[in-house]
Amino acid sequence: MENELIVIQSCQQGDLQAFSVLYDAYVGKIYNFIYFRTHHKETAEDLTQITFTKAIANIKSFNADVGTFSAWIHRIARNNVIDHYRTFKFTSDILDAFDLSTNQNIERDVDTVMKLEKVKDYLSKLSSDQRDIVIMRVWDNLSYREISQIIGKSEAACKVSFSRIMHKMQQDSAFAAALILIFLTHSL
Amino acid sequence: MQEKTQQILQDLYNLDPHFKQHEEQLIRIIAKLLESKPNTKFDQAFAENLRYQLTQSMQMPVPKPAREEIISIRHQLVRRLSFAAGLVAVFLVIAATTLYVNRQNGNQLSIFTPGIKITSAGERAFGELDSASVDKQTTESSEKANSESKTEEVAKPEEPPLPSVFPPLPTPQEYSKIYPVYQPTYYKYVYKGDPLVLTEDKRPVLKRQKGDTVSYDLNGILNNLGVGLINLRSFNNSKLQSLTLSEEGNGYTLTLDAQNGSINIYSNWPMGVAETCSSNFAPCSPQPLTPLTPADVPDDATLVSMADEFLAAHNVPLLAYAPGEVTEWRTYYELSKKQGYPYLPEIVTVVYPLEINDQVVLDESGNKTGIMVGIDIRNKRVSSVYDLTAQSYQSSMYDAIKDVTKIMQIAERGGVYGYFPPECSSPPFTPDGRPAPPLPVCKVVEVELGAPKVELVKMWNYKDNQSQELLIPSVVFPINNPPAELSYRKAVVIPLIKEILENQQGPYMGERGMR
Repeated sequence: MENELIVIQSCQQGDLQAFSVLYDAYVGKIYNFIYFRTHHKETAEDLTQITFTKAIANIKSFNADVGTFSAWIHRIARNNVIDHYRTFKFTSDILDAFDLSTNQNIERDVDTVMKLEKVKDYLSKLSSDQRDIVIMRVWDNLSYREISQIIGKSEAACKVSFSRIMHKMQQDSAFAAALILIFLTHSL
Repeated sequence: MQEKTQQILQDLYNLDPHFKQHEEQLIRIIAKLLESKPNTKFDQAFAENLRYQLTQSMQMPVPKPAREEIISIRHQLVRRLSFAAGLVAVFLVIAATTLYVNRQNGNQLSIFTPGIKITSAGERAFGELDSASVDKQTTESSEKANSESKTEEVAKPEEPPLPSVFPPLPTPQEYSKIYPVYQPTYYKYVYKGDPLVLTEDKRPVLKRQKGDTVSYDLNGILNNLGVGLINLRSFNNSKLQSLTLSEEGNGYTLTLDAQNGSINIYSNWPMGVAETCSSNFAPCSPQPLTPLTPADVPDDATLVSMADEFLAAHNVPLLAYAPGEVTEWRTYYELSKKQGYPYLPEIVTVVYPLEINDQVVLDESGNKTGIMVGIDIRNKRVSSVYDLTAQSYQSSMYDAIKDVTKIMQIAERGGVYGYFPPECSSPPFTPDGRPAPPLPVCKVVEVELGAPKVELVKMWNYKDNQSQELLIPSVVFPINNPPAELSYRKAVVIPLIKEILENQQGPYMGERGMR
């Protein structure tokens, strides 16, 4: 977006007056992005604050030739989520809340946990990278181009990953449907 | 949701057309994913609070609008201010400290920056603060009037005694015939709590930025405003200093003072009187309405609710303010009843106390300051809003007082301007320095002080014909259970900035003013 680049250039030249435009445009998106991965309101708010603080502090390092500002600030947010889980030493492999087991003492909003029961089977079987792609595409509504810039893969690779994920989900769904059919047939 | 589903499906079909064979299953899967999208509970208050915090730390005010938005503003103002047809009275509520204009990207045009902004300046950046003071006259006259004494002005004791040509002093009996009997009263403020501890060598003084708080140069608006009678563009470098808008009928008038960084709103309807016409031919004349009674005044919760609703309806940001409180009116009503002329105010005020860095901003009497919302009791509606000010400050470090003994001495006298009747000193003396005849014994009233806190107190420093509005860190001793005559005082307030305290001069006392 051309206006966005002008605003960013103003910020990089020391005019932080303009950052409020970016803040207003992205605060909701970044908060949601973090919430989808932490499932906890207060944690999402804390990490959103950290994200914007880092974004302002590092605005001069943003390079429009490398990627969009949206991808840049989403990447900061994603890294903050990863760092957040790394502070819990016993969950060093956790990259988002989907990997949490029920006995792990990390806060999550109850209503979110319940709502995600329907898709838990789908999402928990995916690797964290695969899950990230699905969530970014379906919930965060990010383009493949932005997803590729956030996770550091090519756009084509992201598209292929997503298609494979959907294929897998479809197969699992078909297998599950088949199992149900077999069970019903034997029951009759 | 359907559009989103179709978009995802189309992406998949573009990659691999075989997906079309499983369209039904894919639609179910995608639908399930979309339905399970969590409610993130995004809190707008959190976003505003974060914006305020980032503004404080990173100096992130609202940006200037682009050219297109100036034209939009021009169109809106021209429609509303048509000088060719005479002044069209329009009620345009400038909510709190923000002017809302619809812009395509949804951002706001703000003349003032909401929230609190503090920028650091060097040490002693505001120069000498030796003339910083509050309204001494109010404090002096109030306490003198309430000490039940008709005091005469007492000369400073250092002045040389007058020659003996003066007539002999009256005897007590003669004295009481000449002058009304009065009771000199010394209010002794007593603190019995934990010792006060002051450790900081320097403390920050805040100076409110007035004219500089206009974050958007309104020149653009003036340049594009056509008034039909004169070309405003012919005046170079002109800037809007003030703006007044008035609503027709029983509405409001709003004044915006760009130089002072403040907005005030007051009602257009008459207060406390009603016009009555004795006949169709005689002119109407204002007649006083029947006096109000305490039963006419809504309870505090209702009053605060009325004020809240008014401010919310006009989008007044209250980030920097604590919840509203009804100011004291019952105490004054009871006092007026005792004095034989019960008076109930037509306006009761709700104050939204200003808080900066977790410190409450007070006046010298210990009353909370901030946004003042006046409520017309008779008409049961908000009648005024005062002190909507842009909260932009410079901060500068100044030498602080650490001498607790000195502070406690001042506190015992009731503060820097505490009144100490000369008759209460020992030995008592007269204006010419001679020992006075025995007078009624000085009455000492002990007033209990509560645990002190360091808060910010508003003071004004006059330099170079300009008034600096300062917030001075001060130790505040709340007054517990004050006597009725001292009901106007909430606290004993003592500034902690060395040069302010050392240069304050109290009223004449039996001893020299506290130093």
